[in-house]
Amino acid sequence: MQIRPEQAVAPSPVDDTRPATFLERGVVVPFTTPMLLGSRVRPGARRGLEIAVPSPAGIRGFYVLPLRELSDICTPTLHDRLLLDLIERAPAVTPDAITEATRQVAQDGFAGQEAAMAATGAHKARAGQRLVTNYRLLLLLIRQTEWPGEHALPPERDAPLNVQRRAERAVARLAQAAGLSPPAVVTAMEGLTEAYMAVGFRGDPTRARYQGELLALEEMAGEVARWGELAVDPQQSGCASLIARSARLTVEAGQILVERALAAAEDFRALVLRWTADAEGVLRETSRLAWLLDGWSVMTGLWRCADRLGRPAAIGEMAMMVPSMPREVTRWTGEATGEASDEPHSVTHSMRSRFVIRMTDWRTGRLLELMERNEQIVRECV
Amino acid sequence: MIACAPPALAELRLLSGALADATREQLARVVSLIDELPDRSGADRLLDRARPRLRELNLPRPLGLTRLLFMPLDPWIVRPAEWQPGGPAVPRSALQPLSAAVQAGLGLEAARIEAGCTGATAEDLDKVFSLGRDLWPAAAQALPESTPTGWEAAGLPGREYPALRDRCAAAWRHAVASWPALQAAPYGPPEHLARQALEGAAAEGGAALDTVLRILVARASRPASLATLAVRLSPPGSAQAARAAQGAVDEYLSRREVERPSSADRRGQARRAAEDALAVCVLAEDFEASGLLGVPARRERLQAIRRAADETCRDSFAALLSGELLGQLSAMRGAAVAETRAAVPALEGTARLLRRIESGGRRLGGAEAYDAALQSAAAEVARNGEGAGLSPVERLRLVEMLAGPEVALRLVGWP
Repeated sequence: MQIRPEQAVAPSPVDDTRPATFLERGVVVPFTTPMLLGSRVRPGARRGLEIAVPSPAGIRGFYVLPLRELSDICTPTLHDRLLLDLIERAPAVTPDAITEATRQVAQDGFAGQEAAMAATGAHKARAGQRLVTNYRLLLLLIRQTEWPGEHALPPERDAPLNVQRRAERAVARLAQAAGLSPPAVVTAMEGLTEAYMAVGFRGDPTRARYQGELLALEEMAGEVARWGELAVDPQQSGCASLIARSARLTVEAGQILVERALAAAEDFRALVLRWTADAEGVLRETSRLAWLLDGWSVMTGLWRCADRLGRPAAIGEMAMMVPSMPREVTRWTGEATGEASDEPHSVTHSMRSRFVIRMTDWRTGRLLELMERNEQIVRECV
Repeated sequence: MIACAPPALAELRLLSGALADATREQLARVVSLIDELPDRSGADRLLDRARPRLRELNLPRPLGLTRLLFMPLDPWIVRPAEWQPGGPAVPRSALQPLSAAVQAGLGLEAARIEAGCTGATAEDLDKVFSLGRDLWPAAAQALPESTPTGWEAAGLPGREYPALRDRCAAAWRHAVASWPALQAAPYGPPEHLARQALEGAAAEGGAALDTVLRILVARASRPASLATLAVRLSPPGSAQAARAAQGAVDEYLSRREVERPSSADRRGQARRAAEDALAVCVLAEDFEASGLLGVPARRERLQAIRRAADETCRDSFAALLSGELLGQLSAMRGAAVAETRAAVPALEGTARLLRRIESGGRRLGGAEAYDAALQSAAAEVARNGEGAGLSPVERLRLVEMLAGPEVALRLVGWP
């Protein structure tokens, strides 16, 4: 087995050790083995997958090792063994692939009854969200292809049969205007349904996953900041400030990405044309939110369960897991270019290095309690 | 307004006994009624027998000036019957007259702070600290030289007032510095907080160091480290500091020796036993690492504490294993599927609790016995779980909790 401290890849500027890309940062897997919580999986430098495990000593840093050699450093739970098996068989390491694998293992009952129910609920909710998204896209298409005054009723208030007729006509009109066949438009709409299912639309912010996660993250950032302001221990206060600041930076970047995706959906004809020309490009853009928000579900889960083992302990654990913001984010948000725009992210990154938290719980007989807590976090991640 | 006439002694005993057995809701109602009383000194005696349960139930307690004032002294407040004149503790019956004297001394400032307490509870520690920062240092200057009004009426000898006044004043003087350490005491407290708490008191020496140290030590999980730090922070060779440190740890050990984790039910008892075992292990490590075990009587006391914790763990483990796991499993034979599903979370909770007791208890002794009992229980679940209606995944999880994933795979296998 070969364990090596994480090396930054081609940092720029010279002292910036943040990961260059989100893929390089890896994807958080909601493991239930206490030592593995907060670990990230990513493609290895040579072949296969590797895992970055937060330093067991409770100091800043990760141990990086091939995924297959994980059992050399700990005894993973049965839940984690199944999850690792699914991850290894997944075609690519993406936040969505990890969520899907987590949901599958939880649904089989390996994270307990409540996680199984949450996974089943999430599965049903996803199917419902797919239907809703497809329907909303249809309504958007109808509204954008009908002439003003063509129908007395807006499509959302019309009878289902009429909506279907209006939708067929809208597809035909768009196909003609865009020089596409009607089946190509229908296929594009199905693809766009997948792409927008987690993003949602304007006016329906709560049902779409990413918008919901951004709201939850913003709320958590506020709560943690307030807790930190009142904490009497300066180290805890510093940890809370780091978490809140990083969460807010993520929310700000997320809001930019959401706004861009929502704006793109407003000109539906252009979006369909873009899809037919470069479906992968559209999917890449909408999936950026998943990469940006990756790992924060575990953090919000930890905060929600914080009373189990005490808020100071939760804050310490969370501070160790605060995700470094990859430099790629500046390109994604396009807010500004150059080094100046990286500054807030660099500051949180350097703040992170100031804290040394002794995570002793899993070495002092609270292992089973932590596993139970981690199963509760799994419910947040399905 | 609710009036409280002084009840006769027999009546008080009867009521107090009834409260000890009251439900959570009944207790909560009585506590909230008592909290509303303008003078609760008589009614406080009612709660004496119910206090251990009150701590366990963790009921929210409304914040008032008296409660806020004495929160930094909380570990050293005792029932009047337990109080020994001349000793370091503060009898509960003294709280009311002392608080009234502080209020009279502070005048409008006390009224302002009391108004700030409205709607808050003692569990809102941030609020407590923010109000306490104003109250405690001012209260340290506010107690009168002579016995305050109501002192004798509360059954307190006038000659005890000067010592109690000095102790309370010393605790309040250093309360702002020691509050963070007092909150973090179950985690050590960490050295940087302990240092912050003790520096001022150590420089002042005398009753200040003795009081602050005893209060912190009473809650600390590492009392010997605290006592050692107090000596280090005091002027070199200070006999007074050495006496305070020795006195604090001896007092701690004698209190700890008679304490037994107790709870209303088997699960609560097991949980307390598991926590106690871990705490005793930390305590033993702390004393071993200090230079305080040179006194044979102290070493014997520590060993007695270990033995008692070990016995409690073994007893709780055995009762939980037979009553809540194996007994439950055999009772589930032939049960409807819905009943079995509903029983699974409780079975898992028991399995986790057994492991918690084992992980703390094995460090006190009997590791092989715990291992054998868990292996045998795991085999029993693997063998009879199906008959009890458990699904393969449920059996796997239970065996994993009891004996680890490798044993689960060997005994049950992947579904």
